Amino acid sequence: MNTNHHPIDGDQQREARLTAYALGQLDEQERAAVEAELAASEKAREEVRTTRVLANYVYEATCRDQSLRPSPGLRLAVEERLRQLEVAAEGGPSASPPAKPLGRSHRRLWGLLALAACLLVAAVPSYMFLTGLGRFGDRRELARRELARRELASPLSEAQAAPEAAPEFATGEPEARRERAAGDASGRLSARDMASSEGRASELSAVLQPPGQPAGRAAAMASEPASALRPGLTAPRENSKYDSSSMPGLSPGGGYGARSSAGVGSYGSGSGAMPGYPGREGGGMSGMGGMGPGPGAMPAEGKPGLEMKEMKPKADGVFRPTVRSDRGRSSPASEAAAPQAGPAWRDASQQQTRFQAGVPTGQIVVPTPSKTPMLMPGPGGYKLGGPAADKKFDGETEELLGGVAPPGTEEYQQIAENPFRSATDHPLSTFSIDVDTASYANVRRFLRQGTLPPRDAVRIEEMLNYFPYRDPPPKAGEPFSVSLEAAQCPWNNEHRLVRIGLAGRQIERGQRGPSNLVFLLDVSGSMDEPDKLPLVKEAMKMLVRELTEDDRVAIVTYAETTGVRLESTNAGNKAKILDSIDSLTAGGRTNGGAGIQLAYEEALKHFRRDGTNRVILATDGDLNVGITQDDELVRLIRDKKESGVLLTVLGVGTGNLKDSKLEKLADKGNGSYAYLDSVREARRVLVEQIAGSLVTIAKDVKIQVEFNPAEVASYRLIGYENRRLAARDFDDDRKDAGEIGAGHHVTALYEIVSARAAPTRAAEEQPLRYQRPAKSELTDDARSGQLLTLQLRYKRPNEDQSNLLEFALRDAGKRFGEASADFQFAAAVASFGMILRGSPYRGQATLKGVEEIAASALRDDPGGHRAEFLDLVRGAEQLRGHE
Amino acid sequence: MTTDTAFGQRREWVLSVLDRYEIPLIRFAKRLLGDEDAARDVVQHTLLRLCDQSPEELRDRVAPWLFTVCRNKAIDWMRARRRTTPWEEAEMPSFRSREPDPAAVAERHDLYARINQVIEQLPAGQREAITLWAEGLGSREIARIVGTSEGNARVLIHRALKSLRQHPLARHLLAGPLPREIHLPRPCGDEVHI
Repeated sequence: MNTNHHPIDGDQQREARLTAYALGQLDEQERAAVEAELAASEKAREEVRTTRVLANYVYEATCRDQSLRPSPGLRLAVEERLRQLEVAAEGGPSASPPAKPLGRSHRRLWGLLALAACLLVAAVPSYMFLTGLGRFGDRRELARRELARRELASPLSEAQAAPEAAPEFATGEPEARRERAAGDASGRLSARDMASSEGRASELSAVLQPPGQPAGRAAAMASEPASALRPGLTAPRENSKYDSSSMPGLSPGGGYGARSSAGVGSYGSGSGAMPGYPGREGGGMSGMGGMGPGPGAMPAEGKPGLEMKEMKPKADGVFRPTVRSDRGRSSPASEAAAPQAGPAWRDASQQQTRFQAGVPTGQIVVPTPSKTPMLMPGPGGYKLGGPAADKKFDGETEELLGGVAPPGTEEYQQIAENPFRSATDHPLSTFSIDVDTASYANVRRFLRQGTLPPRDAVRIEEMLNYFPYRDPPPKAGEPFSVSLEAAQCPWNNEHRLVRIGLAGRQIERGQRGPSNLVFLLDVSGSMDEPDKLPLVKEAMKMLVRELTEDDRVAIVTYAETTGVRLESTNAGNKAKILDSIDSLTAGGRTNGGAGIQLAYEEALKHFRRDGTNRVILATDGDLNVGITQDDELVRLIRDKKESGVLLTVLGVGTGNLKDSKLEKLADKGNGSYAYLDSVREARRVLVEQIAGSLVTIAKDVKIQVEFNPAEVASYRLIGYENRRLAARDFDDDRKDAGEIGAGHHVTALYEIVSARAAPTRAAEEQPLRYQRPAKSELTDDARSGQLLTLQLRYKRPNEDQSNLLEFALRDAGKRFGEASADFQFAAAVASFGMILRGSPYRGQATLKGVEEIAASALRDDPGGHRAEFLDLVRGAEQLRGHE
Repeated sequence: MTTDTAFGQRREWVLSVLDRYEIPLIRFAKRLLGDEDAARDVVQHTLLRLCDQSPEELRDRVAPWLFTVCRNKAIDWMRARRRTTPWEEAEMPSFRSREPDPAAVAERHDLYARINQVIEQLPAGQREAITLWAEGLGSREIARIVGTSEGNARVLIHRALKSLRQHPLARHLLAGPLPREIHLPRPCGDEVHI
């Protein structure tokens, strides 16, 4: 009931009134007022039209649903009740019978019917009880047969003609007939629809195939979907990857829950536009296919047409931030906007942006990946080679993919990859940073076991962020530095690639500040495997050995019984803590919720305002609670986050990893998620990266990139699907985002189609039916030659208002070989991820190509992790070879 | 029996109300509870309570009365079985695709069923408002049934349509050919063509 009582501002009232007008609910006075408004605004008239159409569908769907039938016993029960009341009031049914020919038999029939009713009323609920959620038809059938039997048993069978009996039988027979008829009708309809929707499904999946297809065929197919989709009552494009599955962020398994619903929405609005405009998409594809130079014509001096402007700042390509003292918005004005329970798929960019004015129309352009071959490193720089010469290319990678199912009972959140978006229509790309690394360790686990990872276990941003990079450290007083670099894209060498790199401030051992830690350990039966509880224990002990007497540790375990295993103990007393850890054994069922409560309480008892307060949860994810309790758990964590106690989630184990759940818990709890597949990884996360794991240097870090349509035709953010935000969330300080720990590195990649290389889109556009796209104008800044402007907001750990940083990037036209080792290595990791996912965007990427790039980028290998990556790639190649 | 007596009249009235409103009530309760069996239980309780009412008192207000009682029973039912009712949960629509497999999704061919599924995922306040509207109740009646102001009821309906508008299914519907006639509910169920 609470949600019905939000304060409503004037705008909402007005919008609601418009809707009420559309539904015909207004009285004359209000109608006149609205009609005046409508006369002035085409947009409002359009709104009214579409509201009516939608309302029509809602009404029909609600009220014309033929599948509901009256409850069988209901009428009898009601009649019985009425009879009881009558008896009670009048002292007997015989008190006032009028002189009717059927008087006596009437009474007897009524009596029998009442008897039957009683028995039936008793029978129906007990039958319902017996069958539980049994099918309704069975019950009705039973009731009818029962009643028929009793009727036949009575000598008054001829009284079937009597009006009292009539309703029951009248409803009985025609009902069955009606139902059958409806069933047939719906059956036929369904078969037809299924055929057409299946047909469309195969058409669409063909249109969206990865590169092997010639552009011509794509164009031919484009016209088919256009006609197939138009006709009315057919299923929408849920078979498209970008459509219904673009909603995953909203499901319980999603990254940010309510937050990411906003993010998913802004992309959903884009991809949601696809159903109506398949023709355009097809046109776009064929257009792009025609534009690239033929194979062998590798651009010699950088891209044709791209200005070779000098990058203004230093040669290292690092842009120093201009710190604007622009605080984020959390004013009452935005409070009023909050209760808008409106969903988040709004088209984000209604605002004035730096590079253009005007209203984007939400169209999508999907460029055909070029078929020129991948760049391969060679002795004299980069050369053409690889897949164009290799006939088996498409077949190979197709075999590699094959949609591996998660083993055992592991669970992964489905990811729909970000598509290319037009810079004119969607100039803003907004997302929250993420420092989770679990996906890389998990993928490593699969590959080491000799199997390919399930597609959705591969989150490219987590793979990118596993590795340290050589980005320069931040200036004194700043929490991180930001680097930008642009060069040729190796898997699609017509495209450019932009790398954004954040480097968090390092913290020396001694400077860490006091830590108040609570280990929350799952000791249920499922943890009783060598790669689970024993590994967790080892990891905890490693961490404890790194702590000092400024720190405190408590241990809370949860299983059948939940309790504080060790009260918060000063970490100077290592022996006591280590002993307590050693004594842990697994057994019993899981009761995650209670454990979390307790852990946070323990943390709060010894809260350190001047240090880090953290719950470290280690589990295989099997919290073993039902769905409603899952939501409660998530809500619990979200509430707890407000207390200032952060959460680190460590996942362990194979065969039962609830990856989606664990990632969500970490997000909700302002924390990070790492997967421990080995003692070595435990050491990396809890010892080498201890500062990063324990100390947060900036929170709610959000990135918003504005692309310049004069330079960029379209762009694609690689990864970060669960981290996307709506454009307006960027300035909204109440919207949560990711944290960055000391020494953490964050990398994000954008693949870019340059505006100078792509043909103008006007030629291929299919005319819209209901609107003419507004032409947007470019501002002066658009002529600056800048590729994009990056804005970044962050809050210091104890503050609630964000700070804004801003950078601009000009593309110097570097070839891939000229880019930094960091850039090349990140590109290799992203390629690898896309291959493992079977991404349609992987272009010409091959495992061989990835291996060669990674090998050459090994010249700089902080921590030795890149060498390990190379091993994994080689291992994946071998796996493919065995098939 | 006969319509001559007071009880005869009441019986006629109750049965005709039952005929007219049983299915709409089941629909409404099913939208609230998500469970058809529970919905039927609740509607049975509601209609049995109707037996206690006098036709003269309720004459014009039958529909709002029915939906109010039904709603209250639904809330009771939910409270007895869960700790929270949908109204106390998040306000965001919880659209989710349950089938990651496109082939399985393509099998759901019935448009109305799909629209209903989308509606079922709206937040409770929006869901019940739009359902009551579809059943032919006006904003003032809806406001009284759910216990809020008329302005707020309008806003709920508006928000429901807004939420639906931005679901991919709706986008698809709006992009396709429009229905030749628009049918909207008239007060208490009769259709009006616009």
